Amino acid sequence: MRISSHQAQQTAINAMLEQQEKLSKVQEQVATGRRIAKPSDDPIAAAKIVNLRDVLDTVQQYQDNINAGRARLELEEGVLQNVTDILQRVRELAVMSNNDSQTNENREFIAQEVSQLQQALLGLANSTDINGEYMFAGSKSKFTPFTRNETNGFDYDGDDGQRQIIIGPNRTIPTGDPGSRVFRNIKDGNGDFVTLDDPGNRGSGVIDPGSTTGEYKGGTYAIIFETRELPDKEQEITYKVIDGEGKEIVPAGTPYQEGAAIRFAGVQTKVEGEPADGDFFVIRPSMNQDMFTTIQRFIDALRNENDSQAEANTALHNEINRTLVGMDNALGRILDVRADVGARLNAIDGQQEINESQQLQIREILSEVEDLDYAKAVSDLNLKLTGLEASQKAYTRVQGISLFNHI
Amino acid sequence: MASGDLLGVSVSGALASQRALATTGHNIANANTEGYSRQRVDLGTRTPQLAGNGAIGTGVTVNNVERVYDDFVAGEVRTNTSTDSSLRANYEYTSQVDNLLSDPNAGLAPALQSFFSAVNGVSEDPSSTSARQVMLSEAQSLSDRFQYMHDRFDTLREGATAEMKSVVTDINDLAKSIGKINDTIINAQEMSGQPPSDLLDQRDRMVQKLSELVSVRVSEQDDGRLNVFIGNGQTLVVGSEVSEMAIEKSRFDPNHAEIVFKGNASDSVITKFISGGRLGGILEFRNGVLDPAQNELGRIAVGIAKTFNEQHRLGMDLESKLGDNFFTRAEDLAPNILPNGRNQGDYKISADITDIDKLTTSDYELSYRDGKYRLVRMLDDKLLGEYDKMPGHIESEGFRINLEEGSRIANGDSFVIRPTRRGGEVFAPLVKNTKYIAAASPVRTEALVSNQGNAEISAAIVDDTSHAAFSQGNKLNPPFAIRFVDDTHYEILDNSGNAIPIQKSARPAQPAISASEKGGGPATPAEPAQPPELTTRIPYDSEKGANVFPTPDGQDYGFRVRITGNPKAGDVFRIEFNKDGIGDNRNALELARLQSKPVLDNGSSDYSEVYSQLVSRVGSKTHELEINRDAQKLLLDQAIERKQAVSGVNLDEEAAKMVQYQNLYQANARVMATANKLLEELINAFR
Repeated sequence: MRISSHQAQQTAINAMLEQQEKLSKVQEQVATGRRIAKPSDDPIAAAKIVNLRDVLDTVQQYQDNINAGRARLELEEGVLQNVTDILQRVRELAVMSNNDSQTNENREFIAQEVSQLQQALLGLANSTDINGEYMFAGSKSKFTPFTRNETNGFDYDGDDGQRQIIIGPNRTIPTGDPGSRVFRNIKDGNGDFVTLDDPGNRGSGVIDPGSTTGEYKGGTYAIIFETRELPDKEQEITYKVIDGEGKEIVPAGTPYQEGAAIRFAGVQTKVEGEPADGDFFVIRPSMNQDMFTTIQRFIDALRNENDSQAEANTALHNEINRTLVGMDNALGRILDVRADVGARLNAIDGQQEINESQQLQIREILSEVEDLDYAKAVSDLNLKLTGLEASQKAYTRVQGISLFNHI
Repeated sequence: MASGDLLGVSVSGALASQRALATTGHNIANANTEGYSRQRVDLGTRTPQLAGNGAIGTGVTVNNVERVYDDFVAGEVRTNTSTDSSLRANYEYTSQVDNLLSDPNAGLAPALQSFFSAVNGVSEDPSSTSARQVMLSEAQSLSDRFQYMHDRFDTLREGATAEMKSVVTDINDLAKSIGKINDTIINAQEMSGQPPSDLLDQRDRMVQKLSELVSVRVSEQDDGRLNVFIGNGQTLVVGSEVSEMAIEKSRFDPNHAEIVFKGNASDSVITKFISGGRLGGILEFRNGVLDPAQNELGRIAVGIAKTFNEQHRLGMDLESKLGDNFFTRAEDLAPNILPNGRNQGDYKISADITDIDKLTTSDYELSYRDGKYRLVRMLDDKLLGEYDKMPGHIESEGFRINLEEGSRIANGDSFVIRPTRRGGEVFAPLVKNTKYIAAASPVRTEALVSNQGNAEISAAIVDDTSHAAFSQGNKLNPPFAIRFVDDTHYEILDNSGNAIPIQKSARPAQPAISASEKGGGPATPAEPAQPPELTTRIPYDSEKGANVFPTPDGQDYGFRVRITGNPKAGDVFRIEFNKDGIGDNRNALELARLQSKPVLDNGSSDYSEVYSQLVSRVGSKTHELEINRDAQKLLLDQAIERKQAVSGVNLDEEAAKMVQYQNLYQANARVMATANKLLEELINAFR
């Protein structure tokens, strides 16, 4: 084939330009360490990179959520630890004051300490987090959840809302507990029923919180005591039990024996001391009561000013019995919540590890897709350099030859 | 034999070799001239002198100075040039889109990620003003990013239009030059009787230039004039008659440029028929890359706005009000309707988006012709529907066309519908105050503290705040209480304490015992259908729990609530508006979840996946163009090489020719000297 001199020149120059372009591409790769500068360099890998980055960012988001969630849960755990300490101290004080030898003065000291503990507990229930939000107000986090009202009761202004965070794909976890669950919705009495002494009782009868034999259906009952002077100067104490409609379910005249079990309708309890004639105790179903009220009742009982020291003592013993189960119930609840918090902390730790290993895997894949294989790139670079040099040499050699040189 | 003859013969030889040397010189001089075809002298013997002893040679003559040229090979170069410059132009523009999409600072992916990070921030800390402020700023950045990319697409379109204009001007100039040189060639030919090689080369070069701009077909008339055709047969040049082309605004859209052929009779839009050359490349870029990419961007924007708004409206803000639209309202995201400027009828149509996951990236045309309405998807010219009369509305790929008003439509009237083109432009956050981010869910459920049982009520899942139950602003209409009348029955009370009656289920609560279980006895006959009976006592199964809302007979108040566990008679659960529930993050969580929820492409892709598909589609397109461009370059080089093999100048060859003709000249001069000597001898003989 004929070769046009002009074309031969052009072809040689084009070849060199092409070599230079390839060289500059490899040079850019080596300089940036990245295999792909723009999507068209490798469209499939480019789309993969966008997706992988997206996944990586999302996982990072989970990790951020986890860190924020852990901080909240650890804060809650700290508060609950303090709550436990306070409840235990109240319980100790209840045991300590459950003694007739305590003077009124001593009881007042105890009442003062309990009152301070109650105040501290209220403070803990109204704890705020780093953002100044109430931790135990549910969703109404700008409202002080627990406040004392005019009747010395306690109002809850929060709700049952529970904040969740996303810690993994399709995995959410609560990062808090509403105050209603932690402090308020705690059953009084033994959880099934509560045994109450009538404030007008004159005898020394102290009723046990009791337990259910499993068939308690939730009715209200009264245990009414009667005394009869016996001819031999001994008093005979008997009792009867009536239900809410006044029906006798334990017949009148059933002899009372101190400390012996009194059983009816699934209720099992006992009375100690000597009830007076007409004294009665009421059994009603347990109701929710907040722990502040439980403690308030204890304080009120400690400060009970009754003309008769004996009657005051009896009332106090009855109240302390209730306080003790109340504290046990409260401690049980806090324990449950703390167990939940611990389980959640475990769950987010586990998820964090999963997320971390996922991040690692994705980074590896990303690096495989995106990063340059230096060994290959450098040998590529050498090859391209040799190519360019060769075509330059060829050009100078070939272009020097012309027939005109010989004419 | 006369020595005069010898002299004459040698002179003819000397002249012929001079002519040949001159031609060689011309070839050498033009060795690097673009489009030059080498020339060759065609030598022939002169007419012989007839004598008795035979025909006596009289020397040599130059028949013709020939242009070495191959029509077929030249045509091949032209075709390949058109394809090459079309791919080149398309690649140049497409790679700009490619770079824009992949730019880590300008691309959509990082903005999308930052925005959803901010949404997550609000979900972590819903009542924090600073977290909310971050979300609003990120929403603004997201909108800015959409705007920026939309603008860049518009700028690219404007740039393309500007280049189309200058290309068309060049085409018109070249066409005029071709028409003119056609005349010059004819004149030269008439004068010399020979084809004027250098003028032909010039014309050839013009046609070659023209085919760089647009694909043309040429045919040579018998008299040597060249005719040039464009598009689907429009005659750009016939002899010396030249027609013009122009760029005009589309009749649908002033921002859309159309190519118009200004024929003798009437103007016609020939955009569709143009291919090849830079012009064809730009058009291909516009239709195949730019429009779909901008529509895709709009589709993502519309998708985010619509789904985010829907979820945001299910929430409650810091002022205990229902959430409003967070981004641009649906009305403002409605498809663009572009009526043809020449429509004769008075039809007005509108359109709205019905189903974002069915939207495509195409534009659509609704036209009326010959008594039929037709809806065509413009990306692939697919007929989607044909109607004899205009229906009230037409549902198509994710959008609905509504006939607004008008009674008359004229033959040939048409409308272009662009469902998502403007999405990137109109996308903007509407919430400007941190208070109005609806992070909470508007329904609160709670168990009364006096409840005896251990039953629990679930958090409400709100799915329709347009229900009348939410019509009263910051309270439920009515608020509800669920009261258990006994352990296995409950009633739903409204705020005035009235129990809401529901239909007793038609079937017995327990399935009829089958015959075999009953031990072979007769099966219980099914109860005959009865008119629905109303009751307020709703049965409850403590093992399974119960869906309280919607009620068992299907009364739906726009939210979902369940009760599980063991209730006791008298237990009450309240369902009311979540007033002051500002620490609630339920709706913010749902908003954050939208990031990875597949809501586009028939529920198969989430926002960022659609974006990565766009990146990869444009990347693949660029890559494909790059490969095709390189391949085409090779084809073009080969064609040029073939043409040059025929027409190109080889300097070595010319050097050899030069030596050859020089020798010829020298030989003829020697013959002349010999003739002279002969004459001298003769004269001396008589001295």
